[in-house]
Amino acid sequence: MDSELNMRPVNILIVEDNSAHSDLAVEALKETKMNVDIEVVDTGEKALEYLFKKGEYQKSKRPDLILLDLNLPGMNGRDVLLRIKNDSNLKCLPVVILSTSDAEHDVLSTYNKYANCYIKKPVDFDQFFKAMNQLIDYWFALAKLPMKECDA
Amino acid sequence: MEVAPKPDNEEQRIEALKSYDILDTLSEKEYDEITHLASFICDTPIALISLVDNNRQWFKSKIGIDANETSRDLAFCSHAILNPDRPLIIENADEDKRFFNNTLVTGAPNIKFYAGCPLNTPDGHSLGTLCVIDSIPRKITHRQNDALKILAQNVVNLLELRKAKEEQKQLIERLSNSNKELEQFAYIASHDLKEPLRVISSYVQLLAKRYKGKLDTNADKFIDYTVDGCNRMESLIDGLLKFSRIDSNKSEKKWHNCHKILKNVAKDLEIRITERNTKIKWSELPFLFVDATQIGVVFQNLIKNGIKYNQSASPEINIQAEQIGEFWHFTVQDNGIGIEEQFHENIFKIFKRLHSHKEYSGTGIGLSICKKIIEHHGGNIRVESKLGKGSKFIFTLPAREKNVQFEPQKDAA
Repeated sequence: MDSELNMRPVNILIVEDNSAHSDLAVEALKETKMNVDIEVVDTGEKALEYLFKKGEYQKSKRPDLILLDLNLPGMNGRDVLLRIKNDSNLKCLPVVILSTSDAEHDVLSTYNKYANCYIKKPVDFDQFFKAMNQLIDYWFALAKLPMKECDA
Repeated sequence: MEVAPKPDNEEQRIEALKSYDILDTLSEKEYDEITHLASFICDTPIALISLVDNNRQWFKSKIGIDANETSRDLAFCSHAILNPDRPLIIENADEDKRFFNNTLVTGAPNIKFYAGCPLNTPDGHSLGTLCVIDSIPRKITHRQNDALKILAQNVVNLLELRKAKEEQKQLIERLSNSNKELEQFAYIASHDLKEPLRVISSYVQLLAKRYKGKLDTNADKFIDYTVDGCNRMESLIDGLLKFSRIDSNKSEKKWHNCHKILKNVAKDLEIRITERNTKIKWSELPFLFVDATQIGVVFQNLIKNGIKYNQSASPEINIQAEQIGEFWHFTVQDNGIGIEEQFHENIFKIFKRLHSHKEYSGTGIGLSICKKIIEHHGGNIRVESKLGKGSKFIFTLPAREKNVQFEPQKDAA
């Protein structure tokens, strides 16, 4: 495991409008072996404010991983993804789409917009907890992530 | 010239005329045959079916003239409808003060003789006439007069038939629309019900995961009940979704070998079949024009039930098919627990169950799905059974499909 990550908790940004869904993800992530620091925002607009350190999020921490829902009120997940991947400073951040849809066009269109991973959210409780475990294992144990700003 | 006054019931009469939705329609053979016959019987060059509208008379059928309509003020028929009880006969228009200077008399088509029989609806409204016209003065015989009346009644019969057909068409359309809406409703309702249910289910399971054994024993039991209730409700909703998805318009019917359909089903159920040491056998089965997936579901549900509701150490399921007339009769016979006769109809109703969840789990959807599928294929399903003596499910499927050629070779591979 990465030594730098070992020293501090990993920062995860969850973009999800339904708090029952995001809280469950938070609970599942807390049960993993990783020390996590999670921020939840419930709109696409707030997600961008958080990432660009604007408004109430001026002291926000840069996330190591973003979990993004596609169906959001107002600005939807695809637009958020597009803004992240078009920004020279944010584009290297891994964005994981977490959606209840397994429609091929949703999968393809988000990968075409440079999503790093698409996960169909398991509906079964145990499966969901297992999926969150695998997610953490993959992104923070198996994969190696950039430690600095993207354009550095 | 005298312009005919409007009949007393003019407003209702016009409404009645509109209700037939006949004005400005194309010519139709059935009506033209009547005018032909009227012209032939009365030996006149002109015969018309004239309908008297607000400001015009419009001809549904015409022989001997080119016009489709004339002004109502000029129409002889406007006078004829004033007396629904008998035909209006004008032997010589030149000698009738109502018509002698009518431009239809003084100019083309130079009407001299007119005989018009009112077209009376069952409600007593005169919509117009069946009339015969000549440019020379004539008389009409009793027999011609009678024939004209009979033909006029035939015109009314045609109009009534048209109205009834139209009403039937609208009724069918309304019915199929409300059916579609209902199916859509069931689909959307069950789809949307699942989301909040999953939230409940997830959080109760989270409670169980975090706090099991840390609360009192009752609490653990209550949580178990809630989780169990959620799971059962989810199965019910899934069943409802499956049920609402069986749409005859969306079924993909082709020629299929029922033997192959059943073989695939038996393969899918292999674990269940061997687990219970089930003996399953079937006779030669026909090629039928069916939706293979749906008929597979029917076999699957009946076989699963035959195994599930069975206390024998070795369940036996025997499937036969026999052609009787236009239909193939399939029987699926098991040696299971059987069903009391009083429940034979109920078991095909959605969510109806005969056993508690402790005895046999299940949603009560399976047989209602079978019934819907078989009925969508034009057949029917029933059960013959006695308690403790096994059950025999009998369903029928049409032997052939209208306008579809039998093409077994496509399925032969």
